[in-house]
Amino acid sequence: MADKPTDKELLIYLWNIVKLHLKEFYLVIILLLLNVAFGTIAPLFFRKALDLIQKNETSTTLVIILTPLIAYFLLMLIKWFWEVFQNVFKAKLNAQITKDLRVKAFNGILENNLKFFDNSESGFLTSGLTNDINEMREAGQRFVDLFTSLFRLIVTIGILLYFSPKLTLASVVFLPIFFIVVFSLRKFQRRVAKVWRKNFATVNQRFSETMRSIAISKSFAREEENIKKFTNLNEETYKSSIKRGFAIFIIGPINDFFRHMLLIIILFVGTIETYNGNLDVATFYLFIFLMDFYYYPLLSLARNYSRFQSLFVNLERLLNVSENSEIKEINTSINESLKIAEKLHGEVEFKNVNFSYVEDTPVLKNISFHIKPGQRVALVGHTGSGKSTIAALIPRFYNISDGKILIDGVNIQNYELNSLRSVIGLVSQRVLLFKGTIRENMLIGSENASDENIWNALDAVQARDFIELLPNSLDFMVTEGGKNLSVGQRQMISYARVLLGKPDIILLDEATSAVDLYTESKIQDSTELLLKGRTSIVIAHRLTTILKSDFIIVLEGGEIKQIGSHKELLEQKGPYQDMYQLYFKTQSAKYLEKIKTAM
Amino acid sequence: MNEENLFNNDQDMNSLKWVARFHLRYPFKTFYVLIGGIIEILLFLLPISITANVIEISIEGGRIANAKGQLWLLLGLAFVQAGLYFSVSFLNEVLAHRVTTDITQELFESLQYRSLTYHDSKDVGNIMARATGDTRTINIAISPAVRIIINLTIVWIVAFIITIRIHYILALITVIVFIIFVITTLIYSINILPLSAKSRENFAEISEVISSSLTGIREIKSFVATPWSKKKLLKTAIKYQKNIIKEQTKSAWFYPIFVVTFYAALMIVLSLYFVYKGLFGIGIKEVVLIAGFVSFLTGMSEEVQWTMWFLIRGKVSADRIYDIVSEKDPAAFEDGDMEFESNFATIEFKNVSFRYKDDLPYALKNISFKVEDLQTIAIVGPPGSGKSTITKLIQRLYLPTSGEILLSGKPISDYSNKSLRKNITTVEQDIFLFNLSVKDNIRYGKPDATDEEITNVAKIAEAYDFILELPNKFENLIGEGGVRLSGGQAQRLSIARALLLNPSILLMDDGASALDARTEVQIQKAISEILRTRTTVITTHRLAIIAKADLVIILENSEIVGLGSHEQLIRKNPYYRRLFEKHYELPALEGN
Repeated sequence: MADKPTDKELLIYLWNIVKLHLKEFYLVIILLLLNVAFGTIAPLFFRKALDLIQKNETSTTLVIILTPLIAYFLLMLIKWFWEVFQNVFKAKLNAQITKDLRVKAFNGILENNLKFFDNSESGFLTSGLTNDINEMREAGQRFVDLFTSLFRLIVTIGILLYFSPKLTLASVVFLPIFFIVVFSLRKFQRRVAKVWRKNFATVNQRFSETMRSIAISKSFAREEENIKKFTNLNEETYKSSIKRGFAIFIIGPINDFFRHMLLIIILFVGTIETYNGNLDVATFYLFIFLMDFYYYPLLSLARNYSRFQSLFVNLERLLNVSENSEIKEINTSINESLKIAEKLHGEVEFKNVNFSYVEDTPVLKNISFHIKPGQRVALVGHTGSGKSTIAALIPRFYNISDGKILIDGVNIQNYELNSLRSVIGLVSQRVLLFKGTIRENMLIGSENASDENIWNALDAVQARDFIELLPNSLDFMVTEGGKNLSVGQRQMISYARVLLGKPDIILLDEATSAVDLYTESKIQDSTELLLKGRTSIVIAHRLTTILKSDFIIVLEGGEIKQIGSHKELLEQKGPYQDMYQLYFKTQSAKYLEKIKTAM
Repeated sequence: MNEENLFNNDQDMNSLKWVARFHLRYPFKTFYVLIGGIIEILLFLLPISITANVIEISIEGGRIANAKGQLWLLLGLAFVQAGLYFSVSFLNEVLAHRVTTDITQELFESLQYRSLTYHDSKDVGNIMARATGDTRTINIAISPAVRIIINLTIVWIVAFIITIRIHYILALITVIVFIIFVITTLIYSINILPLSAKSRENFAEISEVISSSLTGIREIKSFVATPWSKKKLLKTAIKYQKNIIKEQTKSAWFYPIFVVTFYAALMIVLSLYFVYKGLFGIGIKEVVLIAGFVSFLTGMSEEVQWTMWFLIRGKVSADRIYDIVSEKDPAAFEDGDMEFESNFATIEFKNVSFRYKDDLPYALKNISFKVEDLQTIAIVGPPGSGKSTITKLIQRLYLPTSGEILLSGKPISDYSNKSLRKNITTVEQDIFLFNLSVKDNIRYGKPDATDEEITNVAKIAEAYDFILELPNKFENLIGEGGVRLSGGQAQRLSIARALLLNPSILLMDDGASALDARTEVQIQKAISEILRTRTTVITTHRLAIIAKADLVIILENSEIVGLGSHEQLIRKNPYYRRLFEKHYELPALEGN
């Protein structure tokens, strides 16, 4: 479904979900038919009784009169029950379809590649999976209602034609005009609704941004400014909601007006027909009694048309992000059988790798290096030199189009993706903890780890002390994004949860950048044992870290400038030497003495 | 929510009074909607009686000429009723939006002036749910739910009048049915309410699971945790589905309407029977009147199902917003009225202890130190030792739990908030930049700053060069739809932002201990230039900066374990030495 899905494809997608709940589906339809049947037949008994009484013939006994009356009475009551059953099953069907739709779409989205996520806003996707789908459920309910009333419309017109074709035609001929008027308002309605939606979203966005940045607002005393800006947006939204209100509430009076007109026509033609003897009074009244049966379906169609349209628009949008094969993460692009990555030695090799996120803007140029099992390698370079990109390519977050990456001598394209990622541990620069307990956060990668294992991992990153001080210790609730822990503490937990998974290859992307030097060196000492025997690639700026590695790769502008040990590189004239002069040296005591005296 | 207290508790009516007060700001609209609404529904009922009259003419064998007057009346009515209906319903909608806009405004404003302690305890998602979802519900409750209920009450009153003119027994039935209808509707709605509150809760859970999975997609992919995520969603989605089914099944059994259906059918059957028996002098005309009327009544009563639901939910939503607006800020304090002088600034902590919440451990214990004017103080220590907390206390974002903080010799609580903010600025650790241009981000604290001032501070903060490299320079957008800045770049912008205010006290929470070489040097340079031009408090791991400070505070486990100059500490304090010994060659430890 790479192209824009057609309506047919959308319907097939929906039908495949409905098919899972055929029992409820058929029940809803049967109940719908019963409901309409009882609802339209009952007035006929009423007409019969009215007719009998009005003609008042002597042969009419009490029993003859009472039979249609009781029948009417019972039908009305039974109809109520059909309606309830119909609503119950309709709700059930709808809730099930909604759930399936949501789960299916969410699962689909999760399978997308990182490029897709880089380019989409999570807020937008979230609202697609929550509000949009709820809107679709709402539309689904209305759809069944509409179907009911259209069916009732057909039956009613059939009945009325049987009694008086002339009066039926007189009243039906008039309906298209009404239909056109309401329908033509649609465009206007859609336009103002769109503006309103946008404004409403802006207000909410501003509200939420202000709430999220409340601390900085406070330290810059921006409260008044915030209010002033918010007031403007809020008032803007008010104006557009009034326009939207106008578009919605203009329908009601138009509807009433046309209903009055319809009544006038029926009364006018009915009176003439009755006078001419073509119509009896009871049938005349039946037309008025049933009037709403053929009037409201059209109204509801006109009113809900945009809702049904949005059902398709929403579904299309959803399929575009969840079932689009172009943005899926591909397990392999090579036509060979997949290998499960398990207990690797940890040999990593890049062979002439070129890579770009966006076409024509290369991020990595012709990268080649070879890491032997168990080696520790430091990646060094300025911001934007491509260090993090190299780390992101190893677990195949992005697929390279040029060159090869081999792990244990096997092209990573040949590994089953999930198994590959399970043996690679990445501690990324941007730390994200999920809302939940510390334990839940630790268990993300390794569901079955025991508390003992968790504590061991936490010990390795020096996190035990602070966690034990927290209320409930491991069961301490981390808030959204981990905001109730300090940045350093978040880094420690995220490091620990990677260690818990016992990866064969470990990638540390500035894993301890917010931790003080002492704690960091303690972490280094205590993780020493854990890292032994595992291949590790470290992106770091600290001299001590760099000195501990087997060799250093110096990157600049996406290219490898130098590879070698600290000693070798210092002797070469090159960027490493510059960097050392510029910065690493500042981490020595002699340098400190110098700046102190200079002040 | 406590269903039993829904209506009988006086306390609970506060939120309704609160909403009503907003209405009273617009007396004309409110009055017009009320009175106009009543007249409009009465006009809407007239065609039923006109129909009855025309039918009667037909029964008596009348010509169309006899009915003309009635039909002209109906035509005129069509215009008047439609016009009135529109003005009332539209004005009602305007009023509803006016009121909810005001409510949103009040909610927003009330949150602006709350203490940070208050905000720490609130979830942004939760507050946003109130600001968006609950205001919508109140909106719908005001328009059209309230109006529909008023209309329905009028229709029932008319039903009573029609029936009493025929026979008091019919009127009595009408009254009894009405009472049963009202009571059962209330019971029904109150029973539905907890269910729908629960499904709302479930829905919020779904939203949370989805949003956290999508923002954490990198973690999820790298831990191969998609099954974990999928399972989590499936669980919440099934829970939501079950609750929705439960709620809607229960709401489908809207038994009050059964009573009305029963009543309508009974009225029609009885009136026909009366005509047949020739009782009470009623004829076909009255049957038509009653039949038309009770069908209308039934149709309208059906609307009550969702109207009541929205009304009650509107009440709950009003409660939810009112709860926030009227909630007491646990850490609110009175603003002082003394102006903080900008030319001289000392900071003194006297036995200060602090914790963020009663159930959390102390973040600071018994902290005392003093910083003189223009001095620089560096705070060092492991993560969670309380470094950032000290800077937050100096800004008076929180008040100490015990102890005292003096600024320029006076208790911090004596100063006015405005003067504190003007003279104390901060470069925070978790840098928050807005989705605006570079320029707007820098002048965040001083919107009327000139371009020259902005360029100036950008230069001091070593941000000027990289800004000029951006495609749109100072006008370049940051964040979504703009450039994503690296940590070092963001930090330098944040330094520029703080410097623009030319504060007498600068607080720098320098979280990153190591950046890439070039950035590191630039930041060191930027910070060094600022020191000594004002009183500065800096939390950092950079020894090059620490060494320049007049006073270094070493924190561990929320306590001060070392206080003094770098020279003293590096020779004597084991904690201090421990921080750096792995990274630097340190002089020999001196006993003392």
